[in-house]
Amino acid sequence: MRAVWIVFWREMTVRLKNWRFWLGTLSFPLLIFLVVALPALVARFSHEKRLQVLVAGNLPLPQEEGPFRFVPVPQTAVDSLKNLLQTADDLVLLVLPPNPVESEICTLYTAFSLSSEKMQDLKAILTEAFRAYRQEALRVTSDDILKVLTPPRLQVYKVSAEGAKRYSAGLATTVGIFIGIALFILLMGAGYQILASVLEEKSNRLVEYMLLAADPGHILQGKILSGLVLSVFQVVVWGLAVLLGGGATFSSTLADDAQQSQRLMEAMQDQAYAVPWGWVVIFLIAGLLLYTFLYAAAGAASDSVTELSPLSQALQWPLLLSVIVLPTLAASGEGPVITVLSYFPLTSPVYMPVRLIASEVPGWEAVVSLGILVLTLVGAYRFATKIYQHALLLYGQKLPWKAIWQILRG
Amino acid sequence: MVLEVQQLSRSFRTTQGVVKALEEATFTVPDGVIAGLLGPNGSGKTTLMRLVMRILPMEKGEILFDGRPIADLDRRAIGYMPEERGLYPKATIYEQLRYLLRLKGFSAEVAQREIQTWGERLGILSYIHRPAKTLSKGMQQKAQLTLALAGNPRFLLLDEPFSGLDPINAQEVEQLLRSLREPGRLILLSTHRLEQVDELCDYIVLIHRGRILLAGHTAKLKRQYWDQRYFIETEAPVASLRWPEGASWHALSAHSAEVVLSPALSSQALLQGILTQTAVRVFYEKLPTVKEIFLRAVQSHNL
Repeated sequence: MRAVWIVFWREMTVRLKNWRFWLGTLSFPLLIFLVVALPALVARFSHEKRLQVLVAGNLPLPQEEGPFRFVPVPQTAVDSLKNLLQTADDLVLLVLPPNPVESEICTLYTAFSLSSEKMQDLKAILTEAFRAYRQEALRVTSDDILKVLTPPRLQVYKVSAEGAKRYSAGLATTVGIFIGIALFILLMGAGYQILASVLEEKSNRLVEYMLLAADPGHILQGKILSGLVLSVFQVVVWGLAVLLGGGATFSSTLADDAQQSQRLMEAMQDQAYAVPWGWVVIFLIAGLLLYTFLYAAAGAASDSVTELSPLSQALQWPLLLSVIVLPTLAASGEGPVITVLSYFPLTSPVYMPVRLIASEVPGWEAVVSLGILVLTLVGAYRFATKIYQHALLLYGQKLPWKAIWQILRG
Repeated sequence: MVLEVQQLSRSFRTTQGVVKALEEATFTVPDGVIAGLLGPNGSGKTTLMRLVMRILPMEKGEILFDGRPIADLDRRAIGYMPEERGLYPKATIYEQLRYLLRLKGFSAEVAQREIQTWGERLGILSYIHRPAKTLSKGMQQKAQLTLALAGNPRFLLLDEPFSGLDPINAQEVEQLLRSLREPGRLILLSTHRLEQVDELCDYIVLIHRGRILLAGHTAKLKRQYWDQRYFIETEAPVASLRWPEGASWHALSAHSAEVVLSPALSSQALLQGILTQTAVRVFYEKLPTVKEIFLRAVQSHNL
């Protein structure tokens, strides 16, 4: 175990000292900052130009709202005002229908282009003004309108021995997809770190000294452990960036609707309780280990980065395919395809948790799937260790499948 | 420390089929010598070294150290230097020496002390905190030697230690190895440049195409393969001399020649015959070089 720790610590410090690691880790939060936080900051400190809206019509509009200043003008002056528009860059003319109860056609005259955001804002102000005007004219209360327009809400409760808990199929799918993508990102990160490390030691023949100094299994464990820890660290950083960025967007978009915001938060909390986290974590760890062992073996069996590429691609395919078809399969949560994928060891780390979240899966199925995964994992460990020990010494030689088979047979 | 290799075989499956890298290799290297594992490229030297180091599992045969199986030997008792390149290019020499020594089982304090001791002796301390990729090949080779020597191992394996070194550095390494020769320690080095170890190795193991051609003390083998060859330098030109019957000679210069005597002719008879004609400046037995022994051994084995 001492060697595991020494290799682990060395791999960690080397990666943490490398600016490329930090570039990879921090580029995503930076992107989030540029896309989400920076525009919000810019918007906060910038003074938007106010647009003068000349309003011809009978609808009461606020004097000022958002980027608009509404100025009532007589209906008779419309034609002469149209000419005036070309002399100013902040002037538009809005002609309202004579009877807002009967017609909703409003006409906007402008000499310059308006952004779609401004148009949406204007439309929202008009919608509210039309609603208020028509409500009063037709003598309808707000409650009546709400009752007519509110659709039915389907509340789902999962009943178990512990009681009934709220459940959302849509959120289950989202959580499943999120876990699948997280596993994919983790594996890409950890896999490539291990590949690069193994290939470097193979090409500079340091591995000969290392194999003399320590057990190959211990060296491999140390590398895999550091790859996993650093990948988890990266995913945590990225997750925090998404949460902070998403939180900022979420709070700004739902700030006006506290009720909706609270409902969504409650649904997410309920869903978090419904996720079988124990299974998710076990499958996630087993999946990570399986793939990292396979990546290590691929690195050892390759002689160069060029040769490595097809091997690593072959390993990526099951995961990539998982992520591509995941949304479709996760939405149903059942069916022969997802059932088979939840047993196949290269895809079960993604699909069994998704099935467990999205549908009702008997406990024995999860146990059998995990059993297959663990057996494959043990095989992959032995495979990776043997390849690591033997193939690494064959520098400068291509490793044919027959030779790999020979190595495996011992 | 005595190394015994008995009936050692190893084969590899490659794209060209099964390659026998080593066939029934048997030899014994005595204690306290610098032994040269000599042979051309691809002869099986590296395979043999890896088997001895336990990083390659044995297919058939046995390796014993002082009569005990190789597995009983502490990893720290073995010092190894792989052929060329064996360093992380971006890490400093100190960082990697410390890491690899810790991996081998030395405590942080011992690793530090060993780096200091051997680093000073090999003269690498001035550049120990520089990344390996910024150093010359000779400097890197010395750093690798420091790694191999740290812990004062009883068994030292050096794979092509002179490869890529300029004559000055090669001589320094040679001197260092001589200074390490002592009872209780065995130094085994491999090389394909046979002339380079002619004087250094007091024991040689000749290997060709996976087979051991010869193994023994260099001096004894030289004597064994000596073909009554002499060097002679005379006052008179060698071409003007009357050579006794049984002496076949060829001129090396106007006044010097190499002479091979038949069993019927003794060196004394040759010398007397020449002295009657001219003065002899130099006369000595010309023992074969390791390279000549190797070539003759290959011929005699029909390889």
